Amino acid sequence: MKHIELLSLLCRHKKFLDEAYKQKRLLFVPSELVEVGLFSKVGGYYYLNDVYLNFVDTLLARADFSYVAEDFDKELKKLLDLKEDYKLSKNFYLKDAIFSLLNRIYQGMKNRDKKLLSLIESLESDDVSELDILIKEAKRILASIEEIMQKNSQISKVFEEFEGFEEFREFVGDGLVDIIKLNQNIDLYLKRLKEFISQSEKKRKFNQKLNKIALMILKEDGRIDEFLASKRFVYKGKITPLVDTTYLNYQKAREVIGSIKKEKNIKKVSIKKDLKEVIELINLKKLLARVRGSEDIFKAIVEYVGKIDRELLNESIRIFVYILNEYDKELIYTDEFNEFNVRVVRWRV
Amino acid sequence: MESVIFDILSKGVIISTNSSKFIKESRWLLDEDNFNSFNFLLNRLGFYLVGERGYFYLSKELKASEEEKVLNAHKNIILAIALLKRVFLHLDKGHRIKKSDFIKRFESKKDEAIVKVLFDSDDLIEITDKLFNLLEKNYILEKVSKQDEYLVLNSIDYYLDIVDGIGDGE
Repeated sequence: MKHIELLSLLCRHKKFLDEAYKQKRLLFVPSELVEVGLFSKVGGYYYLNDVYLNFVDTLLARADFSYVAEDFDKELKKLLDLKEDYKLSKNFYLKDAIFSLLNRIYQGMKNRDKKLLSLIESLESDDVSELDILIKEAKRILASIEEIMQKNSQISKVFEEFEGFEEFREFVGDGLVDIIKLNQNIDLYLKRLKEFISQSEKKRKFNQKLNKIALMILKEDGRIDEFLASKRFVYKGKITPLVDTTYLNYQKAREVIGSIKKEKNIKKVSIKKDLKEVIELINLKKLLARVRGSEDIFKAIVEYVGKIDRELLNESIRIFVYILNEYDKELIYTDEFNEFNVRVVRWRV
Repeated sequence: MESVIFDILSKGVIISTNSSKFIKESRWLLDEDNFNSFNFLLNRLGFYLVGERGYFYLSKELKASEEEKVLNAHKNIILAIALLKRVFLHLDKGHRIKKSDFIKRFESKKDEAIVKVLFDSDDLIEITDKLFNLLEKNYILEKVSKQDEYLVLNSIDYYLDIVDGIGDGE
């Protein structure tokens, strides 16, 4: 079969090939694909030839965890043998074989670089696999990269040796420029993997701790309460002193204000008037006269405001904050809290 | 803006800077001058404005009567996060997760004891809904699409930091 015929065959069966590449195995494939050696049948299923998978993965820059990074050890040994032979007899066949091997190593290094990068990227973006598996895999790749680094310097040396031959000089010279860049990439991959391993180990350790703490909570271990109580919290309960009616304790307000002669329906909605408007409505001068000298300014505001208009009770906290801002230096901030859960602030005598 | 933010924070909300619901509020709080003046004001009311790694919350000293309720709420959320993290091992702030993925993976990962304490149910859908609701209600997850995708808010670190800080006897 000629190359062009093989390409036609692949095109004719592209859907099968695509399916087999995605599914890893198929129950049925056309016989001509089996005959040409693209598929082999094992255990009732048809599997794609590894050579084809390797070709596609390399071109698409994909790699899975089964990938084993090549070290080109055998190619390198053969290349050195051929070099010695070539020194003795510079024949065409030896020259062709040397070119092929140099090119195979050079292309192989470029392909390996793509696959390693793809492997590291898939490790980094994997948010499903168990951390133990990812760490183990990353360590395996790391070990092989460390070996590759040693081999790479050997490859560079051998390439440099071929620069002594006029006929290989240009090819080897160009190749070496790329090989230096590929070696730098390997160095970066090494750092990236080490960082990935360190972060994943931290994550694994933290998850273990989270499970342990969850177990302590379930067993009502006192150390949890002890720690939580010592921390400042997000306040989850309702806070009384708020502008919003949802949080104003009407029952408490009623107790403080006492009986109100004119019955009004209390609308549990926030008024949210302008602060200026609120201050005008309540008559600030009168309010100040009332609250000056008070033992608890907020309480005095609630009393005063509630008697003017109960709907304005919602605004008590804003008036309180306004007074704190305006008369800060005349006030004493105590450590106590009143029944509204508001800090007790007194007027300085 | 102070009163708007006070309204939000005083409901126990943790404002995360990666939340789409509180964009204006986060931007305002991220301004150092705003943060400091607001905190000064809140201090006088007996509260603390806490701004940590990408989130803000209001804090106060707890009264003895409030302690149990607040502690239990915290413990339940830590349990809920532990359950979520058993399924989504890599879970972190900023991640997007799907309820459907949780349902698919939960069976092999579930912790019976946590499920019993939090939800007391055997129904996978009910457990999932309750878990996501609990975390959404506490502003740790935020729904980002009409389907079932949720964003993990920065506030998750508030609880993870607590876990990190607790001594586990090791």
